[in-house]
Amino acid sequence: MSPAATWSLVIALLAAGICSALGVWLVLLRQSLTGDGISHSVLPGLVLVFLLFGTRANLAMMLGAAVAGLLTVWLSREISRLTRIREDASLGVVFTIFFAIGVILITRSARQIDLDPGCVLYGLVEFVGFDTIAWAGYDVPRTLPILVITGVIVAAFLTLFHKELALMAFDPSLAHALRRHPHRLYLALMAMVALTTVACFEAVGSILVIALLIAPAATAQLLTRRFAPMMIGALVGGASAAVAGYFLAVRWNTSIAGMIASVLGAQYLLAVILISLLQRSRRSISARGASDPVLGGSV
Amino acid sequence: MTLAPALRIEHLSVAYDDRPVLENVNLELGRGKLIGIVGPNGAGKSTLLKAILGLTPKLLGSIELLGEPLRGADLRLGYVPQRESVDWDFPVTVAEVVAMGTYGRVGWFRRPSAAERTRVQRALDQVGLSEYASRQISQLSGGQQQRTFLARALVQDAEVYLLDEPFAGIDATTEEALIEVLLDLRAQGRTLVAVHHDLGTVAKFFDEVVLLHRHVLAFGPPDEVLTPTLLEVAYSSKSTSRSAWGA
Repeated sequence: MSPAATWSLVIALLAAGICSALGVWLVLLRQSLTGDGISHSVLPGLVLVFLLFGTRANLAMMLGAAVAGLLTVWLSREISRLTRIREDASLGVVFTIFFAIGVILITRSARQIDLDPGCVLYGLVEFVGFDTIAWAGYDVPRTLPILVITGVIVAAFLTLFHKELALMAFDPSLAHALRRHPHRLYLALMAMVALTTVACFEAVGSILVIALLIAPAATAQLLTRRFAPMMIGALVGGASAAVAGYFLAVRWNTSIAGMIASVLGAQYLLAVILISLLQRSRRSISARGASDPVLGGSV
Repeated sequence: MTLAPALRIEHLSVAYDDRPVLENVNLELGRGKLIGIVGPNGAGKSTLLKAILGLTPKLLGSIELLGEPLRGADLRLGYVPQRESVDWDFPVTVAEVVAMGTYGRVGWFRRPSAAERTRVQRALDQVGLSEYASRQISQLSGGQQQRTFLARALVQDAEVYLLDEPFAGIDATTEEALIEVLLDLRAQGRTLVAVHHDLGTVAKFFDEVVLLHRHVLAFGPPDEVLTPTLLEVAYSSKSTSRSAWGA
């Protein structure tokens, strides 16, 4: 493999790891759509930072995006709190409006702005190896430091707050009663999602970010009822999809991000088929057991 | 000197969407008692517990816990929510759910200590679930779920416990374990306040009863509160008070 090709694979793997781990919590909180919403609503944040400050510096862009993402979560929560609208509905409205504002801003200022909507959606994982900077004495893709730092922050957050996240997801009212501040923790988790979305989307595109946030965790949840296997399963699933998707894309000369997302879809489909076959065989065993006077229907 | 009551509630009013749920509730609940809250559906029983916990914003009124004004959540308050209010498919074990009761004391960035884990084990023993400690909660029966919650309440080590329908839909074993635990906690001088549905068993379980229907209709020993006249008022006043509020 050429160095550039290796970097593409490394970046895809990093993005897959970070998104899959966060995705486990989104799926457990039944908030998968929130990842989708945040990844869309960061767009106006990115564009506004560029328009106001004329910079594409990573830190400024990430701050702008994180603010837009958190504003979306906060606004949709407030709207559903103050009205009778359910939170998923208000989130759907808020993030599409944010995304639309972003699209309008981009197209209005197309000449000044070097943000290609196509690139935002599909990413440029093929080319990350050609856009390098010097980091710690090495020539690395510009996106690598961002992804590594984001990965460290997300991993630290998920480890340090594991017990509070579990308490919030399982029993939010007890979390409140025990002064574990579930509302603030939820916003912090969403800030992690916003950070991850921005860190990853330039490299792999927002469609793949959404797929990576939801699919590996959803697949793993089908296969296990325990937390640790679910987390490991999601990480392995995301990583293996990145590798398989990468080589299939090279083989068939097609989009890497598109191929990875397709492999994630295939994994999910396989898990669904596997689970329904298992359930069917279990049912037929218990049906046989019920007709058996010795064993009885004891399943 | 006399001890301050476990809970003193004054002029408490709560509304959802401009619809009043509790109006001017006044109560003084003594320490070391087992107190039942009864009333028709929509009487505001669960809301009263949630208002005490600070889960529901109050419109008016003040609440004192053990003589001090309550501001937000307080670790001296234990809570056992309705069993249906949580996601029983969540991937945790029985022991992990029980350990959640210690999280308020354990604090941020730390794991429960060996002493806390022993406490969890003891609580599981007490409700007869030690064999199930490493089971996933999705594999539990309804009664076992309720006992898991009970064990979690035990490790919370609170002064005043608020229980939302702990007796709803449980088997005989669980009922026995539940009563044993409640009596045990009461013997230690703690106060237990439970929302209860079944009027027939109120006298059997509770020292005192609050008959609630948006406000306190009666409060006292079961035989004084559960009189035909008062029950008639509580359980038939629904339509009249509804029309009064135009809902």
